[in-house]
Formats: sequence, C-alpha cells, structure tokens
Amino acid sequence: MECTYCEWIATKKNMLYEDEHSAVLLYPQPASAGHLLVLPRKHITILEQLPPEIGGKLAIIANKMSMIQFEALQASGTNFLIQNGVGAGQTMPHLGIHLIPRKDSDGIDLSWKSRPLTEEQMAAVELGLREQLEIVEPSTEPAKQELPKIERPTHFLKYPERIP
Amino acid sequence: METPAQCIFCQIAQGKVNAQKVYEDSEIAVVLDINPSNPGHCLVITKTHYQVMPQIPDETVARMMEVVKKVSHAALAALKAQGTTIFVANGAPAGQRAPHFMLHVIPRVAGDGVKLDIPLIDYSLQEVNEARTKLQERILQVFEFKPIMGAMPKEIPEKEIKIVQEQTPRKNISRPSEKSGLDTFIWQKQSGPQLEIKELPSFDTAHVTRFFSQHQELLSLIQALEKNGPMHGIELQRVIDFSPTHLLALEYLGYIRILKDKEPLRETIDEARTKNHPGRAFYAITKIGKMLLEDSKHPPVLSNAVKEKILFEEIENKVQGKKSDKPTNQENFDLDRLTDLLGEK
Repeated sequence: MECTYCEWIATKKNMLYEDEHSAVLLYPQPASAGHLLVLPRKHITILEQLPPEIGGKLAIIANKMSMIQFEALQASGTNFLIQNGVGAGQTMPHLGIHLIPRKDSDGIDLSWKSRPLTEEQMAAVELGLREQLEIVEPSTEPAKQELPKIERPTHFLKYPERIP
Repeated sequence: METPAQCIFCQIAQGKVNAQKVYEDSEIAVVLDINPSNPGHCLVITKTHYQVMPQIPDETVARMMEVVKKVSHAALAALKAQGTTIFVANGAPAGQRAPHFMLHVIPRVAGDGVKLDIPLIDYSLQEVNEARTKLQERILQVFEFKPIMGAMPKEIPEKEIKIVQEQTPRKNISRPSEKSGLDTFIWQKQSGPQLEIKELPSFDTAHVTRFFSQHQELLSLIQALEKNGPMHGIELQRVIDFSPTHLLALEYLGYIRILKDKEPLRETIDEARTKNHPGRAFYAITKIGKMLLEDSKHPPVLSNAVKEKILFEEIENKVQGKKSDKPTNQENFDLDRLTDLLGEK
C-alpha cells in the first residue's frame, strides 16, 4: 500500500473509531491536543472523487466527533477543515476532514484577510458558479489535463497544441 | 422555526435580503461572501437558524456535504481553481464571527496567501494521549463502539510523519539569487560573437509556476538549473530539445533569451514581466509561437535559430566588407564555409 493513511486504517493505528465507510484517526501532527481526522475507508484523494452517499456519512460522523470534542475535551470551539487539492495546501494523499478542538487564546490562527472584489468581478464569479452548479452532476471525476509525454521533439509542427 | 429577527444570515438564506445567491434548495442556500478571501468565496448557510454545526440534524449535514461537493466542483471548473478549502468555525474561540452557522468554500490556487494551513505546534505526548483517552471513552459511550485492542499508541513515531510529508513534496520554485551563476551563463560560439543571456528584472515566479504546474519536465529542469547554476552540455541539449512552449516558458522565466526580433511582442513580454502580469505575457508568447509556426525562416529550436542568425549576420558583414575592403584569407575561408552551409539548406 502506498498511502500511509490506508495503511493506518488497515492496521488500526491511532484509530479511535471505524465503521463501514469511515474511520477516525488521531492526526499525527496535531494543531491541538485531540486533533482528529475523519477519513473515508476507501482511498480517495480529493473531494470530487467522493461518492455522495459516503460524503454524507463522513460529514455526519465528523459532526458527531466535533460534538464529542466539545464534551470530552471541554473545548470551547471546534474547526472543521478540508484541504481539497494541492492548491489548498493538501499534504496528505488521502482526503480527510480535520477536526481541531479549540480553546480561548490557544494561539492557533485560522483566519484570512478579505480582498474585496469589484461589483463586476463579483457578478462574473456569480454567473460562472451559477452556470456550473446547474450543469455539474454529482460524483463526476474531475477533468484532469493530461499532457503528452515529451519524446525529444524533432520538429516544431509536431507539437502545435503545446502552445498555450 | 426559531428565527431571531436580527440574524442577517437567516434573512439572506430566506431571500428577505438581497445577496448573490448561487444555489438554493429547501434547506440550504449558497451565497457569495461579500468580503471574499479569494474570488468565488462561498458561504453555505442553512435556512433554519443554527448557531453551530453540532446543532444541525444529520440529514441536513449530509445534504450540506453534497452541496459543498457541488460548489467545490463548480469552483474548480468555473474559476480554474487548483483546490478548495472547506472551513467551519464552531464557536468564537475557533474564529466564528456571526451567530449563524456557515460553511466556507474557498477556491484556492497555490501561493494565494490565504493562510488556512494546519499550524505546526509541538504538544507533549502526554497531552495528546490524555486527549485520546478522553475522546476514546466518550466515543465508546456514544457509538457503543468496541475498543480497538492494542491500538493505543505508545508514541507517535516520527518516521511515519516524515513519510507523509515526503509523499507530496510542495513545488517551491524561487527566483535564483544573483550569485547563483545564471548571469554567467554565456553561450560562446568559437570565433563568433558572444550570445549573452541577460539578467532580467526580478519578478515573482509563483504566477508562472502556477501556469506551468502541469509541466513536470520543465519544473524539474528549472530546479536543476537553480541547483547547478549555469547550463552546460547535457542540460543545454535538454533545453534545445524541449518543445517550443517550454522554450517560451523558460524565456519568460528569464533563463534563456531567444527571439531577438519581433520587437513589439518582446516589449510586451518585458513589460508584462516587470509588472507581474503573466496573462499578457502569455498572450504575447502565444502570438510569437503562432508566428513561428507560420514563419519557416525562424525555426523555433534555439540552437539552429541562434546559429543561423549568427551566420547571416556574419555573411552580411563579410559581403559588405568585401565590397569595400579586400578580404583576408581568414574571411574568405569563413565565407566559403557559410555559403556551403546555406547551399545545403
């Protein structure tokens, strides 16, 4: 098995809970004590590959776990975080929901600066998303750009499609 | 329905206040955040008033996850994002700012400056294990879940943590420093003019890296260049054998300099480069690429293009010189060789 997290699910290492579709592990690099990771049992890398029925169950389990964090650790807050894609800072090869128990002034900074857009830009974004949300069907795989392998090109005309 | 009259998000979800709504069903509405961290920053909110996620019934949570997936997919498709961050803050200590539950979907691209990474904080093993015991106890009560025998960690091994990090190395490409030796990259032609690769004004390569994040070979080459400094032998050959797009990309990055003519477009590229505007630069580069396709006089391969240019310049100089002055033997020899080369062509 290539994926460390699949391995941990199989060997039940650091595991606190498991059921048919999901597993709850302790995150090895916790942001705070009791930092949990809710994973699908199946090896899934990004959210777009996640079947909708499993997604719903994962979310329910994550929600229950965050309740448990409130109760068991006397946390005064919890964060629910999914890093979906390398662009979003995903470092794990396995999709996971991070649940971080929080306390007052614990020094964890999970905030962002707002960068207001112009009205036109907002309208463009709104239109783009609306179009997509009507078209997008559930459980479709993401369109990955596959580039041809480079085999020592000898002539320019062979690769006209490479021009951006 | 308990709806505090003051809650602005209830009013937005129920359509009583205007907002840029992108999705809606019987329980959930998705609106654009008016103070977005990135273009396309969406808020998934419930129509019923809940303060935090644990109050929400299971069916709604499951439904919400489906909607989140759709929105995330739409952001990837419509906004060309490279990923999405899905974020919920339950409670003010976690960063919640409004008394209504909301789920943020933030489209992300590498290097966008949104700091939503999991912080690296050192906790003692004791602390972590205490939390683990408490959580395990409570989970047993709630789920009636049998404890996993022998799974209590003695310690969290460091090796495995490292493996996780190594599996997805982050692409970190930075502009080489002035001392890296790139400025000394001179392609010298024997007994000919020196082609000097100019050092260009420094600019942020993050934009370009984003554009070329798919081009693994290009990235590896750039990394090799940064590591080893000037190009020699095999590496130079690698560049020459690259496809035109890669050459143009390398040129945009300032590693090589080809296409000395096409001045108007060259200016556009330089301007875009100094102003950090990759979009315009790529427009210009595309144009140059198309012109190259149509213009067979300027083959796109670096070696030939540059060599021929040198040859043509030499011929021109020599021919003009011959008319005015008597050529020396050396010049005669050169001219013969060049005319031969041209004839072959």
